Amino acid sequence: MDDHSPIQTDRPEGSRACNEPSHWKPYESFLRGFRGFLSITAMSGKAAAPCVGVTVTGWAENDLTNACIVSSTLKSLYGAIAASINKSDTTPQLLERLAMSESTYQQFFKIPLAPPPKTCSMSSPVDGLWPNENNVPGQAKRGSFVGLLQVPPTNQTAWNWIINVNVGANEFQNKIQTTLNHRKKILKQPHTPSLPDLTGHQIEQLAIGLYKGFGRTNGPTIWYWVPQCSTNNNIDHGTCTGGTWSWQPNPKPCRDNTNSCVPNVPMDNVIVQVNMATGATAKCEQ
Amino acid sequence: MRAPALVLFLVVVFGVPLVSYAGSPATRPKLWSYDWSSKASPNLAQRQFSTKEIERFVIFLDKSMGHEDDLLGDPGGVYVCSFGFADLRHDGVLSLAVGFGVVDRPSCNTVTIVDRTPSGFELYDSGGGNGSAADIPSCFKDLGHDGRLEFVYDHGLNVFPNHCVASWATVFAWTGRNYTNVSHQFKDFYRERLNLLNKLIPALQQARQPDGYGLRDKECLEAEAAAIQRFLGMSADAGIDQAIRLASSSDPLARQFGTVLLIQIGTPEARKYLEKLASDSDYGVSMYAKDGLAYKSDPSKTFGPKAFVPGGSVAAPERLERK
Repeated sequence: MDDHSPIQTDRPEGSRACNEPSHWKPYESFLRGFRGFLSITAMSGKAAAPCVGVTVTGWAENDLTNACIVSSTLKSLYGAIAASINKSDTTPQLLERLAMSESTYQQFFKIPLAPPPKTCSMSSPVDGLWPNENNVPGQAKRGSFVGLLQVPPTNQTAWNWIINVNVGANEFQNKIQTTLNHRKKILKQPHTPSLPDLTGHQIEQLAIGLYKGFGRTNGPTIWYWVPQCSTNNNIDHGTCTGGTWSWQPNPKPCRDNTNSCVPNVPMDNVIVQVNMATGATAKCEQ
Repeated sequence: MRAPALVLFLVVVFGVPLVSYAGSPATRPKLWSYDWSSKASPNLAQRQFSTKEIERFVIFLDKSMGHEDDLLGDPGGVYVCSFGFADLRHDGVLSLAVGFGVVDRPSCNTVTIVDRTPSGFELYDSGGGNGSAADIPSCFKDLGHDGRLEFVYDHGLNVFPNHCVASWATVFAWTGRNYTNVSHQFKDFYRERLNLLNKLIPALQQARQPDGYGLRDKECLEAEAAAIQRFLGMSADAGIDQAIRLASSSDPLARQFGTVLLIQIGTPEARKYLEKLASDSDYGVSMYAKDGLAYKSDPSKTFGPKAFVPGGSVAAPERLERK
């Protein structure tokens, strides 16, 4: 195994004790739901095998060769999702760009972590490549999401990038399906004159908004695109007297159902966050 | 009494604009008909509810208000992260606060307060940082030590991707017509937090400690401390050196973080930097800067929204006496 190839190390559960060679450090993540002792070394910037019983599939940091492998995997996964949209104008690189905006393409990043599990004798923090956990403020715990596509943590999604992107792709497929259901519901409402269908690109943008965690506010969802009558902003269906119906960027794109996104201007704005994802360029984009 | 007649009766008697009348008794969730008084035995805070029961109740209210676009309960849509009951109006009747998130995504970032009123139910909404609605009972605080609960909600201050998240806790209280931002009435709360940060920051160690903080959190904690200093009037441009330093970094993620800080500081000097950042080579930095410049500078925005957003009301035929 060299520094530039994906690392895949299998160790049967319990094959390594925590007090074995000194570079094997115990790890207790903030990750919710983790079981067992996990470890990864900082040596040469490589991800390495866990202390006990977890397969690591990773790569050295900032390595373009492996970024290309990630990109082609994501592109392939998105092919099947895009087919379900059944539109010609979808974006083949969408999942790559989403991963870039979710994790800057890092399944792992270099960080010192402590403390160790109580049952392990080694207690010093290890400055190594650890799974890329999310941060959240307040009462919620760090590490509710992990890896390239920031999916719920399991040993598998944390330590194996292939599983991580497959789980993430499946989640994104769910968001596409929810978006398609939403489209169906809206198009079933009476619109006079008629409301045009969404384009494939617009469906993708709506689904990314959901993936970015923009959900309920005042009952309705904070969608990127909303139906709008050109002569009356106060209705979302019915007769648009003297005007036309079209899909327009949400005039209230913020989590607090306003257009000013207090206090955190860009973070809470679905349009900005979706544009950040679709406008990103992934490493070695395919 | 027939429903339309009853609605008319309620409007006339209570003078409340009623958005809708909610369905037949058979379709109503249990919460509809419970006694919402804090003196009930057991009261709602003492009863056990599942998140699904709360979800059904909110869906029922949403549908009663005609919200067609409701993803609550949809497998890929919205779910109830957390909830709690408390006497937020200080009138002996409990309110229900519910936190929402998007299924399997970093979220839990919006909250709805449902108040039982003499005429039915009133809803008030707000949105915050990811995780802010993950533990609603911890938002109920008696900051004034006077037996009157405030609702302390983290609206989030800034995110330094792959590093840390900066928080901003906003204090809301019922002020007769809405849940209003009353943070300025609780300056001691912020002074205490600033004192804690001033002790915490110099003592940060490389690895995160049991309190959850490590050196990787330093920029966020400093940003929070500077925001508190601005809020307390100690310095109108506290944190500008940090913001400029980060906005000048070669790391685009640091520049994004710095850009948001400059938006929040909002002084003419900060906006001058934003104008430069609007043409930054990083898409995110330039987008944030342009977005920040698009709005009139209002540094007070940093300190949370002025109030919750009224989310409508649903008429309930059962009359409820409030104190």
